[in-house]
Amino acid sequence: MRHNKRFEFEVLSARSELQTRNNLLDWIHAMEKYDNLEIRCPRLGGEVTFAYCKRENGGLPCPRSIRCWSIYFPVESYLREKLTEDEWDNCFNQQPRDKIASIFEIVEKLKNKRQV
Amino acid sequence: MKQVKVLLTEEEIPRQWYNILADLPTPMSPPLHPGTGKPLGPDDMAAIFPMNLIEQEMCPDRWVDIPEEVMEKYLLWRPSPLSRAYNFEKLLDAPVKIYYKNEGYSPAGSHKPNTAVAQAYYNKVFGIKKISTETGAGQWGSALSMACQMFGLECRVFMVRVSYDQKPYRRLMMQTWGADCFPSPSTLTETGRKILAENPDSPGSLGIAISEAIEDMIGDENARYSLGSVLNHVLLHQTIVGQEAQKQMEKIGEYPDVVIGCAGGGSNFAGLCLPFVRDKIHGKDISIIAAEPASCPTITRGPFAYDFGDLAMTTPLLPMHSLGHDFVPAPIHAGGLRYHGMAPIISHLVKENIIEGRAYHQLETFDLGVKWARTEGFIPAPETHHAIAAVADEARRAKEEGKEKVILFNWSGHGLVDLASYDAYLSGKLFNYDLPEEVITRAKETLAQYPKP
Repeated sequence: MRHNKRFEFEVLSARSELQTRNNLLDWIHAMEKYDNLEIRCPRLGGEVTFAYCKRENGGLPCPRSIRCWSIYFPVESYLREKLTEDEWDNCFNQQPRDKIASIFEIVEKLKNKRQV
Repeated sequence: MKQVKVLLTEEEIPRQWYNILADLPTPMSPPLHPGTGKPLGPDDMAAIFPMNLIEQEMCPDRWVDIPEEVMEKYLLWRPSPLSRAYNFEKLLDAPVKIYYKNEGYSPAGSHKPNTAVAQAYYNKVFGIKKISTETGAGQWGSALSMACQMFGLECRVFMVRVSYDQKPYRRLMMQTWGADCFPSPSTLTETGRKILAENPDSPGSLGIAISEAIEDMIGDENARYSLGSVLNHVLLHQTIVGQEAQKQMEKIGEYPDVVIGCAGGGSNFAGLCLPFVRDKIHGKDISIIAAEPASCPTITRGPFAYDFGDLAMTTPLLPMHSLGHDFVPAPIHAGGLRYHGMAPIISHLVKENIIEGRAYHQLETFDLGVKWARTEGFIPAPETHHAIAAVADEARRAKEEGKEKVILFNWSGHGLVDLASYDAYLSGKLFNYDLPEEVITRAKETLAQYPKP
């Protein structure tokens, strides 16, 4: 009897794990569907897919992506699932430089590279 | 017959640009050098801009003469008409008079040539032979291509690959005006080659295109870089728009209660609004509204008006609302949301409460852009839709308050090269997402583990 209870418990656990996995697969599958959704990018001035936005920043999401996509689907939870904590911080918790500072940073890098 | 257009003669065109820096109630913080942390000086900038433009960038004078050679080119399309939108007024059915400054009248179809022509001229005078720049969808790239051709300069445009493939007409405009337009990442620069080696199908980004444009010219004494927004001198060149509008309004005995422009990088907004900002600083009772794109509706506000916290750059935490219902994700640091391409002058004026920022969702902006085309005839650029949305918003408020208002806005460009965007909207491609309910429910469950704002 005791053995049966344990067996029952294991079956239930396995079933539950399988269910969780299936849910997760469904979830991933559903999320990949978003890749083809289109939105107008305010930075580029043209339509882009979510697949573009989520890799725009050197393989990481564009820092605007949550703001731009939140109305269409749960983009924040999706990105939290996909990104490591460091990647999330790099994308969304950094104080962005203004454009002028970014330009001069590029110039400095190029100058240094050429001097080396 | 009712007067629709207010025109200036060529003799009446303003002969000076207006520099808002001379009238700011508080000084702006200077941009800092990323290496030294000290304010950027002319020598730092000399590697990328010609000295005559750097002088303008730092110029404290209120008025700057427009050179005769620039004026000759301006006269190809300037002064641009100021028109009254009677048909759109009728549609809105509110106690408002709506005037718009038609900057779509330029050869490139937008306000961008106002600075492109000036920048090409100053580069030419300084002895520069080649200008490099980046462009997203090509509005800036095409304006600069035209301007460089006018002054006999070589023009090289790095266009973000995804747009290069999508927007053949703007690319063809650039090529027609004699510019070299490259998809970015390209094989022309080390930056581009490195990215292509890692990912041959890279669709590019604005950041990569900027890097390539700078790399393309750095170290070449005869080449410089050019930017179509953000910088002080770019905004300065655009002020001819607002000064013309002031003269045109004066001609018909009107003065606006509200002035509106859309704010991407800030140049078209600044063009119309900065001369009116001067009036406001000197005591005029006028609202000046910067309309920007937004995607996240707040629950507490009106039907399509949203927070502008990221432009003001003052909000450390900005709660975001999803799906327009009760879906409230975790707080996100505003740093990650802020659009860092905004002109510092505009951000400063927002912070000083001289300008009010409002953001509008693209669904409503497209809807109003189409309504505009169906009433006034001209098809607006999708960026211009945001200003039209702000006009409709103001009209609604006027109706609610039972108050008559004169509204002036910058119709910053036509949308004839953006018809693919209209196609996406009209075919429901942009918005018609039927999300399965269980996906939304699961998303809510996932988010439940994060702290609430």
